[in-house]
Amino acid sequence: MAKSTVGSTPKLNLLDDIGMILFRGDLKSKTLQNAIVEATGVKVPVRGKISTEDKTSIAWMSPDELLLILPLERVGELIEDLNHKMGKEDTLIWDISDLRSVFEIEGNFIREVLAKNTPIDLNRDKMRKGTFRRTRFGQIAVAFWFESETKWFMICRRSEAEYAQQLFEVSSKPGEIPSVF
Amino acid sequence: MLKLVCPYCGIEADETELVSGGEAHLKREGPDSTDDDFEGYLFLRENPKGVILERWRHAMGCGKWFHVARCTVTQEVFGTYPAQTFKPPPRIMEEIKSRRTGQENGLNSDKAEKFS
Ligand SMILES: [Zn+2]
Repeated sequence: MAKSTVGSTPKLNLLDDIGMILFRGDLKSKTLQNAIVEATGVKVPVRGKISTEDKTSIAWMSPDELLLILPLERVGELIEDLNHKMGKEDTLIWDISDLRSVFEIEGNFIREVLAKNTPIDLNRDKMRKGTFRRTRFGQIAVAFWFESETKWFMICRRSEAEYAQQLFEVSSKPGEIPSVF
Repeated sequence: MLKLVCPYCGIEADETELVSGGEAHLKREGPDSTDDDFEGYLFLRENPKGVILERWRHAMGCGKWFHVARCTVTQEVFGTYPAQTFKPPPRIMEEIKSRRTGQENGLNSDKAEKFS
């Protein structure tokens, strides 16, 4: 018997104190792995995953790209530290905090709302804790991950954040969420 | 709905997360080429009823280009492979061969020779 979703609308909040660093390089390199762990305290995630320690997360974006997500005030210092630790190795370390937006989604039935707008398999055994899934949300490129069933995160281009917000709101109207997962 | 496994991400991506890039393994003709070769490079494409090797981009994902072997008639996918290659890897050719014995449905004879 499906649970009633009435009165359980999940909410989307833009996090404005979040910093993001794009990190491109040879992810298999020992120098890179050591530099990241020493500078952030977080291990380099394996393919398709995100690893988190305290307030810092590192997401696997592609075979040569990571995304570091951390409190905004620590970005400048960390970039300097990483550049120093990488030495002469070929890397691109770039502050993209203004380029993308991170949303926090809180509440029940988050999988249901996302499933209306994305083609990925959101079943609990496929979309698990630690999974970092790049896909689309409506017509825009996004990535999803979650901390718990009732606390998810979505990242998108800042220029498309308004679209993401409106699409989420329209898809999570009270009484219009089916109970599926 | 076409679903392809991105060889970089290892995930099954839906057609709407991908962008098609047309025929794979084209030889790029430069300023020294003949007009005919250049025309072929720019405009002439295979349009087989059967097996095709194509380029696809994981646009709503890692953003990388990769290659796909699929059948335009049945939509079956023989496999995907990274773009850093001039020809399909042996496992892909074997997969095609094992499922397509007649030349009519496999890669056309020029291509089969080129990639064998
Ligand atoms: Zn990919």
